[in-house]
Amino acid sequence: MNRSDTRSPRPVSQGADCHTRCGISGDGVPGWLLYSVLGTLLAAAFLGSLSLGTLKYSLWDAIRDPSSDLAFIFWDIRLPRAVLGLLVGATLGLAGAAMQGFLRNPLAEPGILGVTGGAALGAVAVFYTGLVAVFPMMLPVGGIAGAFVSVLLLYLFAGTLASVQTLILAGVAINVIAFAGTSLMLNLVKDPYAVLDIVFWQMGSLADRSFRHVVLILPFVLAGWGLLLWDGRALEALSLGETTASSLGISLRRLRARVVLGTALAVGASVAVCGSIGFVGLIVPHLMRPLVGYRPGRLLGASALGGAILLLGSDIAVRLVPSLVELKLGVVTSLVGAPFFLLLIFQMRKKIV
Amino acid sequence: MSAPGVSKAGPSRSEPRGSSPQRIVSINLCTDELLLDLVGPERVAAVTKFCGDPKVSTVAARAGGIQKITADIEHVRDRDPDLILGGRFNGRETFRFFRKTGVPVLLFDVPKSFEDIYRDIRRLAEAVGEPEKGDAIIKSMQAELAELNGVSHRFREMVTDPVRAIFFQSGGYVPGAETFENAIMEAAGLSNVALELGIRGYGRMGLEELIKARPDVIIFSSEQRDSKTVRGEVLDHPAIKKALPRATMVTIPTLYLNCGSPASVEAVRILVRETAV
Repeated sequence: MNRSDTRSPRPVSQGADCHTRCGISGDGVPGWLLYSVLGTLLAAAFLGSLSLGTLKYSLWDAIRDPSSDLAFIFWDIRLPRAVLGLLVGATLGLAGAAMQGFLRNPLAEPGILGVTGGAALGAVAVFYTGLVAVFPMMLPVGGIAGAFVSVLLLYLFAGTLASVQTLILAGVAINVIAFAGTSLMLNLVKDPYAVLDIVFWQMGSLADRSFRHVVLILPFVLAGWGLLLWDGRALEALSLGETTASSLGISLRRLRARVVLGTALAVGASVAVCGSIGFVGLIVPHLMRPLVGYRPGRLLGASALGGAILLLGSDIAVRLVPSLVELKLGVVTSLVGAPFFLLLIFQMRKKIV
Repeated sequence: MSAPGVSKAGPSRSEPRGSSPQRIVSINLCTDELLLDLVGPERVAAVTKFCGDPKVSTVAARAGGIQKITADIEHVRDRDPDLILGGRFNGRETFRFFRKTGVPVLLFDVPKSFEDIYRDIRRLAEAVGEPEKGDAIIKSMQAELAELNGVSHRFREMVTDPVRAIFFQSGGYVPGAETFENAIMEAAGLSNVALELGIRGYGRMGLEELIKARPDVIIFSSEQRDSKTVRGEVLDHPAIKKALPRATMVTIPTLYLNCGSPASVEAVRILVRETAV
């Protein structure tokens, strides 16, 4: 069994182009170069996120005059926002790469396949029952439970080697169910204004979050990352086919358990506090794939870094675009991501037909 | 004509008038409030379903025996109205239908000042044939506001600087000039920070701008502050308390803010009580 992406003509030719044009070997960019470039970009995006906001107030101002009232803007508004951007962005990139590797399907992504939708439903269910007020920890737990059920349904319906159509249709169905459930729940809540909150869960945003939210999701996100990053070698073996992978001593069942659990933990917790932010998990692995020599194992780390860079960058963009109402982050990523998705489908059309 | 409003709540013990409507239907929470202040429940054929909720409506206690309906044509028709009251923003289809059938429809705009409220009360009082009662309600509102103004004025003389307040709403919206919230703040002797920023109508103010503006008083609406919503969480952001430890936080129950009505005086009273002591 081949890697699914090498079956599509475009990425291969891109790799070949780059091979002749920029002298990159078939293995992609050397590791040290890739990670130092990504690391530098990430540092720049993080500092940019800290320094840009509605007010002109930079990192330097906060260091120079730490006793100022305005320093709170820095430490309590912008720092948690940047840290969440990093955590959530890396989660989405990593989960996208892991799902694409495990399903051997280039269109797999937590948002498109309904995992974020399920997480939003779980979070909303917990939020409005009032449990969160008593145990704040219930919020990420709800999101994780919702994400877990969605991934499980997805793998049950679509299996590991479903055709692109089956997988996407399963994702559409899960998304619709999750959205209907979320709407119903907000509809039934007695608070007449709760329905407005659907905007938050559907569009996603890092605005006005605090360290409470960072602390709340950090353990879950790190655990999820651990489970997903662990799978590098197994995913590489799987790209040679299930039989080959088994003969190499990879237990498919355990791999599936790790991917399901890791995705649910990291994505579920992220969506619970930041809402649904789509398409990061789709775009980033595709951009990174040629750079890591099309190796699903190396793709994981690179996509995590790339996801964090993309999300922090988008979050800077929503604050710089002048508008009366701040744009929602999820809207921006969808505006960029949906055309990208269409382009991918367009490229794959021949194969599907 | 009946004796002019002895008490706001008292049912109008009046002989049936030929011209004045006896089966009034209100399909807007705010016209519910104005109406039940002016006429007795026997002349009201229906009010909105929210009217019975004491958390939302200030006249819930008086709406006990009145039928509650939704604003759709069938429900309204079923009550056989001879006057329909509503706001500018809901029930458009209903109004169009009944205008065609010849039932008088009276629409009210969202008030932007206490003058607007007085105008609305006068207009409704004329329509239901209780002009003296309307005038009495307005006079009593004016007297209460003048008294509150006196209290806040005496207090403000002791401090030289104006007390700067901001009405911080979820999503970072703040009411500026020409809003009802601004009228309430002015009536309580507070200076609206949003006006310093040149905001007219509702403008946006993020957490960062809120902290930079350093208001003395931050006003919240209870619905937004206490409800289990994401928007409510924002109003409780730790940075507000840390950066503005001396700011007075005032939460006004939302039912006094939903509508411009005689109960709006209560919002002013709460503001004066919390900021001028």
